[in-house]
Amino acid sequence: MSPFQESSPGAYSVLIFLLGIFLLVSPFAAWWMGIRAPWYVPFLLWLVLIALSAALARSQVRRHDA
Amino acid sequence: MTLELSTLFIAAVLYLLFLFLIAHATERRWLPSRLTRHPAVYVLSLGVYATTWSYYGSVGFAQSQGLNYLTIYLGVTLAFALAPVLLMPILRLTRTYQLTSVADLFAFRFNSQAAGVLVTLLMLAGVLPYVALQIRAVAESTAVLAGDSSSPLLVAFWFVVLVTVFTIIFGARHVSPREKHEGLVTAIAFESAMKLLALALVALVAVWMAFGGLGGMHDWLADNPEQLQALYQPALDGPWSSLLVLAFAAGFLLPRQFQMIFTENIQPRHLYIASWAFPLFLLALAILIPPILWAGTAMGATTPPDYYVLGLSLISGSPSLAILAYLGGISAASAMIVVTTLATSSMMLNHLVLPLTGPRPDRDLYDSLRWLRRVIMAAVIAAGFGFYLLLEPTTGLVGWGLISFLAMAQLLPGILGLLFWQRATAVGLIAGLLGGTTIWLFTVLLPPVTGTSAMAWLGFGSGTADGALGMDQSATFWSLSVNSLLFVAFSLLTRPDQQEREAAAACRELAPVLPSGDLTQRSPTQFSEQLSSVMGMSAAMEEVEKALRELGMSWEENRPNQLHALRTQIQRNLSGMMGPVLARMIVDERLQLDRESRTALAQNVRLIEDRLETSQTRLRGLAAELDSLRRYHRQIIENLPLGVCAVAQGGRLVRWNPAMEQLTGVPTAEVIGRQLEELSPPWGPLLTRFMDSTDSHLHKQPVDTGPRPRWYSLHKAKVAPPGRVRSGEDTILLVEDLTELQLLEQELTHSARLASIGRLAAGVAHEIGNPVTGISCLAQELREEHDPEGVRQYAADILQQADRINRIVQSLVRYAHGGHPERQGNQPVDLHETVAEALRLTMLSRRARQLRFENQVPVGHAALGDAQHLVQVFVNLLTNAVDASGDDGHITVSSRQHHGWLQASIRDNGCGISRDAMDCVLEPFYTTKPPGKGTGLGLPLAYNLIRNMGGDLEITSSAQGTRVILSLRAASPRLEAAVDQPAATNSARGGNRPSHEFEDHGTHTDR
Repeated sequence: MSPFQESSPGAYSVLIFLLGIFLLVSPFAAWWMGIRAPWYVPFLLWLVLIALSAALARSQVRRHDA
Repeated sequence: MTLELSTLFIAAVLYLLFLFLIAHATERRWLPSRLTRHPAVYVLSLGVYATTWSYYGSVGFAQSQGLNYLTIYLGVTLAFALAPVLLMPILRLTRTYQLTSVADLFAFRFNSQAAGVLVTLLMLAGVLPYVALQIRAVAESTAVLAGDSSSPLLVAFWFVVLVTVFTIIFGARHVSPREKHEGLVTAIAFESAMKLLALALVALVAVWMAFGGLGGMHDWLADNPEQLQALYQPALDGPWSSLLVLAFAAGFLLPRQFQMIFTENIQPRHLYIASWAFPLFLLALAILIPPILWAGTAMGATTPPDYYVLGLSLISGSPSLAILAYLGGISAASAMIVVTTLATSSMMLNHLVLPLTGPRPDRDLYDSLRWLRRVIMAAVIAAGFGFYLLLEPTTGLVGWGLISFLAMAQLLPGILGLLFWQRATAVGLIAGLLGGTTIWLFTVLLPPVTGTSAMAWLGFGSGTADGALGMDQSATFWSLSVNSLLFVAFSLLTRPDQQEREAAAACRELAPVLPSGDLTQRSPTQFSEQLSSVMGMSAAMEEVEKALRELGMSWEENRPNQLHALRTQIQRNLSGMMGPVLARMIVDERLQLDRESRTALAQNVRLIEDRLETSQTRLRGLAAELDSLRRYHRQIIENLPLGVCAVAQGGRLVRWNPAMEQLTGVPTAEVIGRQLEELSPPWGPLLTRFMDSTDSHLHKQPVDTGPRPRWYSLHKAKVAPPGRVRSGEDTILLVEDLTELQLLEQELTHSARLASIGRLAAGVAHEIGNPVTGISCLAQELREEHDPEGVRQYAADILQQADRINRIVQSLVRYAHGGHPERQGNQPVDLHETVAEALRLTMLSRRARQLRFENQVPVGHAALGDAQHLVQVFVNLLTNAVDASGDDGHITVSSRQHHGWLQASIRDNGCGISRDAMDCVLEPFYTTKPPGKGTGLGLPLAYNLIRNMGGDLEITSSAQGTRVILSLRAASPRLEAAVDQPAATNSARGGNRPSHEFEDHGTHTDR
């Protein structure tokens, strides 16, 4: 009955989604498009989202297997 | 360079045949299941998302719209990032309720056939142009490679024929979603791998040819900054965000995506892996597009940008690369058509065809469903081909794809309401869909047919192409806005009915729907009889058998809760075959519930607990605390060392804890829901008898459960359901195992018996010594005797003395072995003989021989008991009397019979028992004798032995002596009139077990 409850995978996934929104659909997105960043920059940002999703999925798979 | 049409045709046919082989090998299990069921296969199968639009069209899209082409993949990545809150709940629903398509999902949640029909029509309208697009891409790609020698129509036709055959063979194999299309999934996964490989090779060769490597490409970009400008600028100006929304929806709502993500999912954990691996696959595809575009631009490829992939492979001069690139396109097109057709046919069957025709009991259900599905599949592909013939050839590949995407996006408000808004209603959904679809139809689908560019409505170009709404907004924004607005408004204006509320609760996993009311059918056989009138006896039997097998039940099952579960399982299985609405209608009509009857809370306890277990991770706050409390209380019952079983009203068992399992050897799963009397002996009869009796306790019941009997005490209590004042509806039975205690008592009895033999040892020596001395003397005399008559006399005397010794030894042996480990039950025992035996043993003691004993028990008095135990009781009591008596001690044993009871009295004239000691004499190890003289076990053991024989023991004492009265059931009522001479002075009261009045006396006690 601890007052602290660990955040659910759902909460983390929403955080990743919000980060995705920030990276892709925000003034920040307009900024990196506007500065003519190297062509692979969008793919790097994409890779960051995938890496975070992978980290979350790993914990979920562990929890599922347990 | 061009390729021969025949070469391309043969390559395509061989490739498709190879796909046949892969699918067939998977179905036949020629390929190891650890390979075909590997998460990678699932992830790659999701690659069906990348059609010819991605494979060919992305290059053209990137050329005209720059980075906007990425949105088609990034939107999917965002959707998969939300897998735990968006995709997993849908997967849970589809698996639990056997929902095979997005139309099934909506029809189930909103309990509306109209919703299912509408969604199906929308899907159909959305995917047909998309199928046409694939056919067109194959025809055009053939034309690109073969030049003018090809006939696009002929190529398209044969491609369609081959794909139709493949789809029918591997897509209509099963009628139940539980049986996955593993062969088809493996083939689709292979096609995805093929697409990636072909695209990667083309990109590699193109970059090497155009720039000499990546470094060269970067130099070229530095020299041509307008290329980077062309990449980024459209994304800043164009509909970047609305395309992301479209791709977000398409990522899991497109029929082919829904089919692969949810319907063909074998392991839910694979979806977690796919949440990152599938976006990674898309990234690998998408990152190849800009290099191909720039290579095509740098090398001045003559093909349209949509077909740079083929054009560059032709420039390379390698026919192999060109064929590989061509087969990549064939993969993309065929995979899309096959899976889309499979998904669409399922929707059309469940929501357009079956509601009209219904299952026919006179036909084989499964065959009918298979053939219907095959016909629908052929019809869908044929319709796609027809659409291809009508398609406006000038529209780019991407345009038709986006039209389809926007159709799917109309489901976005509905799917969010389905998952997160319990108040959403079918009317709201239908109103929203109609509103959004109308805008989509008139502004996106029809303009290309009538000649107006659809791209303007999607936000490209002028953005003000149509003045109907008078605004420069995209169709995406307006259709979704109107859809959402109508959905919310109509949902709030209408109220969901009961079944819709139940479905909404199931989707949200809020209040579990519990079985209410009794089923009118009482057995699985009756289930199949009822269902046979709808689907025929053979199919009905098979469906019931399948549901029974899945639930681990037998045809003999008759427990109401289990039958409820069976009904639910049958409904789910039928839902997979015929759609949720029709399945519900069939089950509601044929397997009816008596809603008037009340279901006790106790009967649903296990169901509620099971659901709480599965939803434990979703409980939060106070609910989670309450659940912890519930678990704690349940754990108390589960860990109790006593057997606990709860019996609901109607005599059905609702709880059976582990201790009960251990005591009885009967597993919990076998008894829950059964009537008490259905349990096998000895527990069924024992518990039923106890339930029916008025006793609250049954003490030390011998039960034959194995090679040795065991002893149990039973207790009973009534329990009122919470919130009801009226009590006594349910019953709790406690079963206590006393076997160890019983065995300990027997051990103690034996020990005490041996201890008393030890005390008698001196007397035994004396008793045996006398005859031995006599025998010795007689033997000496015998040696000198020559007269035959004298010899015989001496021999007879010796035998007499030996017989005396033998009697003593036999008595001791009988006494020592008197305690049987298992009580064989009460037998008639001759009380006179028993007392005589006890007196013989007692008089072995030197002290006893100085006293006077009288056995006044009438010959013929017989009690019900254990002979050896009774001897021990008398020996203990007589020994106490001897110890308490003085030198003039006089001990009398008498008996009388009264109202079926035999009362034996042992009276001495000793010193009596003090008042203080009287309270403790029945306690073990309490003794008034000097140390070493008594163990304090004699009297307690005597008391226990008498109680076990169903009798009683009472003691009265005074300064004149002590009297102990044993009450035992008489063995022979006919002896009741027997004369009770010595006991005649005692008074006895009436009743089953008479009480007594005593005179006096006193004694030392060895209790």
